[in-house]
Amino acid sequence: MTAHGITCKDCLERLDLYVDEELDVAETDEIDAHLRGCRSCASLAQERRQWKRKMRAAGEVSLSKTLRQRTCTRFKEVRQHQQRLEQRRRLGRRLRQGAGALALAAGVVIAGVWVLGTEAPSGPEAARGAGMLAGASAISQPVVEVAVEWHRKPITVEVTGPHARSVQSWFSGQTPFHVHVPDFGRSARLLGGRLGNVGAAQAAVLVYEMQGHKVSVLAFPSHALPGGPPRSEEPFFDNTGGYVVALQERQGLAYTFTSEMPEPMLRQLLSHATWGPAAVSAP
Amino acid sequence: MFGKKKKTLDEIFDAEALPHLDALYGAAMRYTRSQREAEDLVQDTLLKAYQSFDKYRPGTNCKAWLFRILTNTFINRYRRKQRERVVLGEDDGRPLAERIEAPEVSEFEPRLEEQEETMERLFGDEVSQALLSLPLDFRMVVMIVDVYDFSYKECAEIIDCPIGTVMSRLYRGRRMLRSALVGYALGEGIVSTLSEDYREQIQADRGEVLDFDGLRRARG
Repeated sequence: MTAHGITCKDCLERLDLYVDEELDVAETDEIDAHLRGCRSCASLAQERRQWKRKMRAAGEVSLSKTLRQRTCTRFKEVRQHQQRLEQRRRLGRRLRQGAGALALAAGVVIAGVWVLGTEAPSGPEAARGAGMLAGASAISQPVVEVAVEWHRKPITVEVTGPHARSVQSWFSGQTPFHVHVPDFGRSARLLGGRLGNVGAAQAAVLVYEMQGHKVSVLAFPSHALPGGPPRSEEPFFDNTGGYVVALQERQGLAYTFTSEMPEPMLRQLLSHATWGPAAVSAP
Repeated sequence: MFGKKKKTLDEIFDAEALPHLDALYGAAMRYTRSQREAEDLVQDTLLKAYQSFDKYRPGTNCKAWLFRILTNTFINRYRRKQRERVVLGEDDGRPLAERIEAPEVSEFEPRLEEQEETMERLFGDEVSQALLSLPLDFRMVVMIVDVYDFSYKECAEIIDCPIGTVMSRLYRGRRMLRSALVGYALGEGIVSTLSEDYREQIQADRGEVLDFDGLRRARG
């Protein structure tokens, strides 16, 4: 049977494409014209459309509120977790990159009143402070290494613990930034503090003792970190040469915590830290 | 400053992608036939989409882009599961290579008792059941074109195959469905009397002579 130019065979061959709206305008017009004059093909086209409608209706799924909420919450949690991991990876790379091309601070005054260990005071600043390494090339040292170097040396303190508030007061006026001296309560005892440096940046050095382990802390402006301040206040942990170093950002300062204690122990210690308000009054 | 920009990116992603959750979930359920698997598949899809969101061009078809990721993720997993489930048959003296066999039931074809209530609730009707019973290749194409209304070209991109393959799978898939649903078609009045075309097709597909009038009376 023919009607309006094309045969039923031609029409049926393209009927699926027609119903699926996959034909161009000219072909669609051809089929339209045929269907107007051919009841048999028109009824098949109608049948195909009905199938499609039934399929679509059967396919409609709308999530229950609970399931939608669960899916969204789970996704957002995982996304947040991945973002944190990525931040840490970035921070880790930066810590290993080195403290950047910063000029060295010269002449850190060593006025030791308390000596930990038996060796003569020879912190990293001793060599640097003498101006021997005053060039920018000398300080491209990873922050982690600087922290370990400080930790390994016997540290002469300028102010003694155990009271975090009094040590904090001592720093006020000594450093161009306000140091928050962390207090670990009974978990660790604050032995004392002193001035130091990380690259060109001045730093506050604190020493604690926990169950026979020494924990040394460096606090310095976080903009001195290679790549600028980290975006998260959560601590980042790194293990190097038998030491564990944690880096935490807090209110514009970067804090490194270095110890030979196992990482879980240091993590636990950090979770117990309370941070007092920054001391503002001069000692 | 960077944090703010990132937050905006999250917001854009949520606004573009999350409205398609219903469709993604429905498709995932039909791919996996399991609620648990579907949830995992949708999660993986969202994460992958988020991670490659920089490749998405705003203003283009986000739903098609998400379906492509969903389908790729499913196919990769499905293949991996199939590989993982290849096991060694009992040592009956045959060479090792001959004893490697895949179990008949795959991870994505859960046993009846594992089908969860949601499946029943969502796909309890006859049409959905018939669609779920189609072999995967046909099920995917019929679903993408007929249920989710994608064009042949979009479907070809989603399942990453030539457009000719889409057309032939669609043709065969629909034929299988119509054969399976002949009683339904008569009962629902999709066809009042079976056309010669339909009758011939069903006879050929089923390889048997059906009593159409009896069927219609039974449904009517």
